[in-house]
Amino acid sequence: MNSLLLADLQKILIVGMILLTVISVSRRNLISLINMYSFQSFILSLVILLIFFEDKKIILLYIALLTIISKCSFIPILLKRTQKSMKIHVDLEYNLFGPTTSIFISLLIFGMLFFLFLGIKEQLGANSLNYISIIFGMSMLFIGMLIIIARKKIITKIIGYLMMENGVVLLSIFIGDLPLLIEILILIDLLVLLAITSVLGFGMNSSVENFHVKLNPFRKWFKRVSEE
Amino acid sequence: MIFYVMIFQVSIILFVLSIIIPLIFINVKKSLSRTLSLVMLILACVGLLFFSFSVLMYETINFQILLSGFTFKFSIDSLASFFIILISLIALSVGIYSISYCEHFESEIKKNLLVSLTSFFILSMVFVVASQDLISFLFFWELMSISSFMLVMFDYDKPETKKAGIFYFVMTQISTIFLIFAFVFIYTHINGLEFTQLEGLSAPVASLIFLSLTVGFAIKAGVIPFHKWLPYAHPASPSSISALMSGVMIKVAIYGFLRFLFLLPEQQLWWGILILIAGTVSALLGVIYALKEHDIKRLLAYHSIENIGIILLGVGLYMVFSFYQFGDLAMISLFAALFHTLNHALFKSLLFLSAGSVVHKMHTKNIEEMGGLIKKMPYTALLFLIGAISISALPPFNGFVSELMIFQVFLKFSVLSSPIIKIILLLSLSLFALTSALAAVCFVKAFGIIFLASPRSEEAEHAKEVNLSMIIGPAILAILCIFLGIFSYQIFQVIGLKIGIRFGLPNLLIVSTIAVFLGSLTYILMKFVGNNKSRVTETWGCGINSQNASMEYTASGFSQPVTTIFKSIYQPKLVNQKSFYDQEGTFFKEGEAKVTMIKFFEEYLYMPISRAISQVSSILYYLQNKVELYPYILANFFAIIVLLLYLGVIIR
Amino acid sequence: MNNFLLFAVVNLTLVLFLSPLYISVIKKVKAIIQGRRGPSIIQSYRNIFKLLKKESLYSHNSSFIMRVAPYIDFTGSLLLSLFVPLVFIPNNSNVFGNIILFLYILMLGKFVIALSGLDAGSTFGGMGSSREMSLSAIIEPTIIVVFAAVVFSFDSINFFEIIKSSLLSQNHIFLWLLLIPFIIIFITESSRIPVDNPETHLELTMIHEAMILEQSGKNLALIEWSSAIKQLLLIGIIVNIFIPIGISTSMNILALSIAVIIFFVKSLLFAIGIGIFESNIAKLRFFRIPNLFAISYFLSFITILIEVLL
Repeated sequence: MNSLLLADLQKILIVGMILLTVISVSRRNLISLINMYSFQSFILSLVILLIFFEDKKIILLYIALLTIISKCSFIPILLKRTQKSMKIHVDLEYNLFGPTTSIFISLLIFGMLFFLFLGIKEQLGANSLNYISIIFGMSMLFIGMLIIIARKKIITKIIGYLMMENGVVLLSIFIGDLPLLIEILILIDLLVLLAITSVLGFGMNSSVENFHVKLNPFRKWFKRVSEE
Repeated sequence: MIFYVMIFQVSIILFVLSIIIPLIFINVKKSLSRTLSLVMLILACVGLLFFSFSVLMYETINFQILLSGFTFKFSIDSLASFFIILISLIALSVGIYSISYCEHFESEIKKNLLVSLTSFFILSMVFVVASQDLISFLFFWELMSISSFMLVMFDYDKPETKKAGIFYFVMTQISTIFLIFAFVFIYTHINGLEFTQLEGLSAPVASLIFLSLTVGFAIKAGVIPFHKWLPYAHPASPSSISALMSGVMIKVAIYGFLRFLFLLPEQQLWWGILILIAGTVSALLGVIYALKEHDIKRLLAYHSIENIGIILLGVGLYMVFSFYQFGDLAMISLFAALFHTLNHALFKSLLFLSAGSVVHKMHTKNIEEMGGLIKKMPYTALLFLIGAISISALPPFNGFVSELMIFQVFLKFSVLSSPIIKIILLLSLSLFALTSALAAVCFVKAFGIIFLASPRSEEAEHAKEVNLSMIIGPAILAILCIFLGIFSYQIFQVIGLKIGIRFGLPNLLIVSTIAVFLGSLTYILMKFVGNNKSRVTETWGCGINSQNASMEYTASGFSQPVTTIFKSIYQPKLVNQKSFYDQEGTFFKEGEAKVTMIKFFEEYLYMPISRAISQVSSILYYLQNKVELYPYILANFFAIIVLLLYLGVIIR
Repeated sequence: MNNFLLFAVVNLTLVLFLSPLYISVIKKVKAIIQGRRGPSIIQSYRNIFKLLKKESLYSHNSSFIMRVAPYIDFTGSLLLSLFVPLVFIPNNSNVFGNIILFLYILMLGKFVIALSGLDAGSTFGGMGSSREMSLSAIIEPTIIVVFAAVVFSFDSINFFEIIKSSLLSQNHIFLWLLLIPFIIIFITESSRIPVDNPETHLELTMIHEAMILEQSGKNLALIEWSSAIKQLLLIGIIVNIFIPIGISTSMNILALSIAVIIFFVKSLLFAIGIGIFESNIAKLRFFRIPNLFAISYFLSFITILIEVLL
């Protein structure tokens, strides 16, 4: 296939990924957040497949398959099952910024990263795809952090974290070294499993603020010790 | 050519006469002196129009006036004559409007004073624009400020007028301070007083001059953040004066800015970016603050701030593109800015004058008490509608043409090389589009609530149409708005703006003719095909028999979607206090419910500065007045001795 | 000149006769997905004829604005149809085809209809006017950035040249990202779900319909027809910029007929797609709409950033 066409398709798919991140900054429906995450991982695997068509390294195919199995099906199914057992469907409150303001802040983040990395654009080679993937990967990282900061419910924060790691994968596909990539993937997936288990323990309904309530009984403990 | 100079001199003499005559007959009860003076004003304006057109076509005129030992030098070139055309057009219609408007004040003295001061104001503006000299510019600038201050304080009984007047006076003096600061530097550089090209300025000095000139002119023009005097001064002054101030005086500030900009040959990039950003912020914040206003004159004042922002956008584009040596695009943006200056003067004065007619008949400025005036005052309504369509930049009227030119320059932003500038231009373009769309929202609200539907108060029920002169004055401006819009392409061909034609400006005459053709075709077709019967009946009110005015949409309701969407800029606070007679809260005694929006610049910029100045001045007051007399004299004595020692001993 | 006259005649005929069809097609698609039979394809034509035969009712409170506004709106739509090449691109005209003039004639139509909504003095009219004008203000930055991207890629501000260069060169795949903001703009301008429901019966959920609630008879027929024409023109812009196959540049009768058939197929497919899209999504709450517009602004801004700076 024409390599220019391929590059354009990849650019479109990467833009699609970041669009999904930005949409999830302002979505309130939990199921649609999970669906967006799985769609985003699917697009990521499509990007990896397109690179495979060009570079013909078999390891890329394995990575793409691994991504599809774990991120597009396994993790979302797990999340949806836990969500069904809780009674919560929406995440309505925002911490600092409202939904529209968060979108403009993500635009600001993207713009700042664009300019910060403009200086090293020439060193990344003639293909502008490397530069795009750095910018988009890093902005997915920061927008994921924005999701974690700006939303209250834990499930949304987990989705933000998962999107952050998608951004890391995007970064490392174009720039990083390959064997390291698989290790990173497995490590991060383990961490996510840990996070989900903790959600199962505390309950999906909880926000970070509710932890104070849960830790309240222990306060009396300390009081009695200090009074003696 | 001598003929035209004679016309100019005759016009000036007519101006002076129109200032003096009402002052002579200041207590006479007849209106003859005022009518005579206004007729002379009108003739003088017509004369100035002829004169300026001749200057535009032929050559520059220079002349001097000797007054008490000072030589005032004047020179009228194309830029100055363009602004004199602007001034005389607006002054012409204000003059016609004032023939019956000035009769509405209480005392004869006030009426005569209004007419005399109006002529004085206009004359001082003409001389500011014509100045060639630092001293004459400053002299007539101060005359303009003082006469407008007296006009703003015209209704001095009301407390809000006093506050508006003092605020305006302070701001205009601060503007003069910045101008004098810049002039001192210019004087020391060229060692003379005339306007000549400032060659060989070092970059820091040039930036200093540029900055202080910008601040000085920005205060007078109403650029954010120096704009706060505008929404106080324009509503407080009489309507004809609001039209003059908003339509002409802030344009004279733009003239000053452009004149000094042309004198500074080596322009730096950040100047253009600064002006661009200032223009964008003014435009956006001006229209956003206008949307929440329900006082018709404050609404129009905020729209003036918005349009000054658009003019500064054009000037900023000119500066940026000429820095990067894109001569074509720079010329188009400069022409767009100048054309928008003319257009804004025309439609803003039109709006202020027709709003003045409405306010005069309704005795209130609050649009929530008006309504249904289109049937009682049809001509005023039509004039306001033409002004509203022009300011919302809808084709084929003139507001659209200047905004189209600015848009087309913006859409070529990709020719620049620096990425950061491209991003700034793109952001500026998006905010500019948002601004012009929000202006349309605001004027649907203004026109709809004032004129349409049914009357919301007793006054509105009994309103009547105004006198003939109060219709003819604005009508001249309305006709010019339509004319300048439809014939814009032909006018640009005559002026010789071949670049614009190559650039793709559409020929609005052809578009309008085809539109009229299609419209009449539709009308004739509908007459044959459609059912021509019509019936007048009640508005649908979900079954309620008679609708009354409280069911109509209010102005606050109309702007509610926008105020909610831009919540973070308005920051509305809801105050909801209730007090009850009993403890359980069942018998309501009294309460207060209020929505207040943040007055950002007033609370965070102006009040802190004024409080700081008050504190400093109270310390100085203490030093000057509370200290005893004898220690004060002793301190002076010691100061003189120290000074003598210094001069005599140290400097040998 | 002859070129342009032929173009004008072809376009005017097409928009006048084809535009109500698309409204019915979308309604029929939505009905089939909902499991009903739905109104017939020519029902919109029957609606317009029925309205033409009824008498017009005016309120006591209304003025000349309510009587004149439908004509101004309809004339505006007819003028707009001279801006967009649907099946045939004439030689370049300096007068018509300017993107910004197109945008502002659209806004002129909205302005007069919003004024006529306030004219009758009913609450619904005011509500519709205020919502419609606010939404049209907020979609403006997106429209301008999308237009800036299109102008940059095809290097012209004239629709004729844009579509001609889209026909001749094929390497604008990246521009397909702009399809999403274009569709959002289309939905806003033609008042479709998720921004506004064109078939709602509840006045509190109406935006465009509430403004024209007081209109009746041939005035209402003109307004409905004019919104159908605007919808067809927007479909024409989207379809012809992204898939310009089939547009003819010559006055050949054979080429023109093939172009008409291909355009018909393309636009019907697009309308069916819109119908399927509308059936799968719910109307957004009014204050969630700026959210949608912010996302589309983000997308168009990124697209133009990458287009222009790389």
